[in-house]
Amino acid sequence: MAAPAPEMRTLGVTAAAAVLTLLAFNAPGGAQPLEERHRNSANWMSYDRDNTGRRYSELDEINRENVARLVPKWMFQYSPQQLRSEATPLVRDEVMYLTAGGMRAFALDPVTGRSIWRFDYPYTQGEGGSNPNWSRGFGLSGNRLYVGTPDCHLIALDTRNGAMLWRSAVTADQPCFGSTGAPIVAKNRVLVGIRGGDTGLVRGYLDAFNAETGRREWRFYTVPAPGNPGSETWPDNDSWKAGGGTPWTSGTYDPELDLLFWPTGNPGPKDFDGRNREGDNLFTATLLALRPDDGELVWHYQYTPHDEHDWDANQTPVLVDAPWDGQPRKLLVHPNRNAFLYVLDRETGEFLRATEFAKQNWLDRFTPEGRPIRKPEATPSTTGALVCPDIHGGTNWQSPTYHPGTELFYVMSRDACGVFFRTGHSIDHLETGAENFLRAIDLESGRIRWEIPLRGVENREVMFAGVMSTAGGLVFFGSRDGNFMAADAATGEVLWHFNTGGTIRASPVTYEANDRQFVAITTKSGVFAFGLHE
Amino acid sequence: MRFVTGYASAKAALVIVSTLLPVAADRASAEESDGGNPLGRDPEAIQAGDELFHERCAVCHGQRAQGAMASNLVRTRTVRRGSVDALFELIRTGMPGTEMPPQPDLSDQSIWQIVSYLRSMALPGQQPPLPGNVAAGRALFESAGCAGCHVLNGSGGFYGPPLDSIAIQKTSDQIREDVLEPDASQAYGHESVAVETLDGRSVEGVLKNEDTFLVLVQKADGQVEVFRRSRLRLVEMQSRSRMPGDYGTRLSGEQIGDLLAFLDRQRDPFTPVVRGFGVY
Repeated sequence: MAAPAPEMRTLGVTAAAAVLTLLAFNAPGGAQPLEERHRNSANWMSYDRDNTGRRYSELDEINRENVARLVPKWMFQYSPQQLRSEATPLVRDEVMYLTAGGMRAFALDPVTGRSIWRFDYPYTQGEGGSNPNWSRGFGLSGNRLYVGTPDCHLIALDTRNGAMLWRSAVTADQPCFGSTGAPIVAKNRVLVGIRGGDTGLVRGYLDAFNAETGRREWRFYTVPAPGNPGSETWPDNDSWKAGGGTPWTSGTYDPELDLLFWPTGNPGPKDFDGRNREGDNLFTATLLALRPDDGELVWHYQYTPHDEHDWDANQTPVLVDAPWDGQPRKLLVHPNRNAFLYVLDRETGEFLRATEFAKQNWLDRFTPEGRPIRKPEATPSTTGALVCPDIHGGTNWQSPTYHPGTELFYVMSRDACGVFFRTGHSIDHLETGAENFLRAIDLESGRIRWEIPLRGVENREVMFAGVMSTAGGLVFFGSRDGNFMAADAATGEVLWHFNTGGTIRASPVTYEANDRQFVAITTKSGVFAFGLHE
Repeated sequence: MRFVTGYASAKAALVIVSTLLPVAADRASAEESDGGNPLGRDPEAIQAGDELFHERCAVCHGQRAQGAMASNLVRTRTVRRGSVDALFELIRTGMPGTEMPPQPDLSDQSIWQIVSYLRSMALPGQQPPLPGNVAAGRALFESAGCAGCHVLNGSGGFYGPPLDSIAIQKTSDQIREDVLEPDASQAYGHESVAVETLDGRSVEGVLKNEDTFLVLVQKADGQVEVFRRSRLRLVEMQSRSRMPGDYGTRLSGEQIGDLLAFLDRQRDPFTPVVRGFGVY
């Protein structure tokens, strides 16, 4: 397709809809509660598109009938090229915003891939902080873009020219390992967490900053200090100070309930040896329901009490409104790294059901209240315990998707086992087998409806490629070997695939620009955008 | 791609001028610093260190220390050239402020075992080459058929991996095992595979690449055939290497010694490592 000349289009026309961002939209019965600013289906304005975590788009120009005609429209390669990214690009009003590792950022014309501005963050690797390749993208509100940096700051850039508007510390009196999750904006606050929970050196927290001024409004420590609620689940020693529980991915937001949902990481100081931290270790490997105004904890559900397998819980909490036992209900669906798909009542935190979606051998049973009872033999030991899933989990941080048409939940899943020692972990998948799948799970029954095995030696390794679904009856997903694919959302038939030539560690997006639908995915060293051949 | 003879000669000259000397210096410093390790290269210590590494370190540094979330230790300067005392201390205390944890519960003996293992991994080719009749080994390399599958010094076949730098990639024990027991471990990117198409055609060769949709097989004639998985009835990885397994009986002990002496001198540091496909 010969794209029309850029000057025929107006980029970024409705830059500041800041007022609208403040207005929560109360959806009529059963429909998904959504902030008004996310309603334009041409845009992709938040990590998982609309703060529901569903990573679903109403766009349907590209659909089951024509997806075989999908062709690359452009590719953008990072500069400098050795940068890598796990980012989800955002698109609003015909401009794409992309981070590359929290070190660089770009605004692009989403029709041609030509850059509009480039932002270089003055940070030198080796000063501590995180791997600068792990940034997962921007948050966006009004004319501001927000991104966490490898040196533990939240910065705000002007959407129009990439100018840095403010820079706020996301630090505490402990070492910094960076902020890699894409910030979420809710009620004019920017929410961002930290990483580093595996180091045995940090105590996790989630920060809320004023979206305009950059002033920090509250901080929620995911590991309570002695005397605070939850501290009774820690022993009488200093382990809580390095208790981990870092919220290193993005949360979701329900404007109707006015609740943020945020998952937390595994406990420390030692991932695999919990003898120094006897107890449940709240609020690690937990789903938190917080008030955006002040960070008040309204309810919590702990997926893996006293996690000793580094399974954390940093997967997307997906907000779904669907019938449950015949009654409409506000659900929270969470595919957890411990290999169970959880359904919670997101109003109360009530445990409704957990079903196995990937290979596991650690669970003895759930109590009626939803507390998992672990088999004793799954505990890491000095001689090694063979436990499934392996350290990479039944899934990982990459996005799942929920399609309201098929009522299926799609999740990149991993069947693998590993040997867990108190001192570490080895991945013996060459001996015990390991395979990754895209699985479609029937939300009503919890059963796997279909699965697509990802084949080849490379695809046995850990998979960080996510999934997106569209009203075109499609799911789009990537794989470690660099394939980007589309499947029939109802049947799992693979209808289209393209070899991007570099590993995919990101989740796809779709948007509309110049009256055409595009699908885009971040790959090893850039972004590919696809559209229908014309 | 191969270098033409003239270029290969120029390359060899360059090696002598710019590389052999530093390598020799490396060897001296490595031997010297190894002296601080009470266990040295004791095979049992290396084995114990391998197990400890597997248990504690492999999750970040990879199963054979060749890098994963954290750095490739086989290539790390600290591991290759630094003093063993510094390496010992690094393992003991970790790297504060980074994700490299301390190991306060390990005994000195255990840490020295890990040091022994890492040095054994990092320094193949820095030990004196095996004794033997190198000229006879070179002749055997041609006459016994090795050159039919392996490139060496600018000529040879394609079915197996090139061998110009084999002795800086592998220890002499590993090379011995590769020659005498080729089925024990097949080179990445040269693994044997058999496929059968839906219309009944069988093809054997080495697996050059595969993904969810495709299988690329290189056949004995050098041609790479690209198969769609949907048109295949069978894809079977084979435990038997394409390399003949009878060198142990076909050659005398002396001949094998000569061949290994020849191979152990293939330490060209300029020859790129030809990797398998799975390096994204």
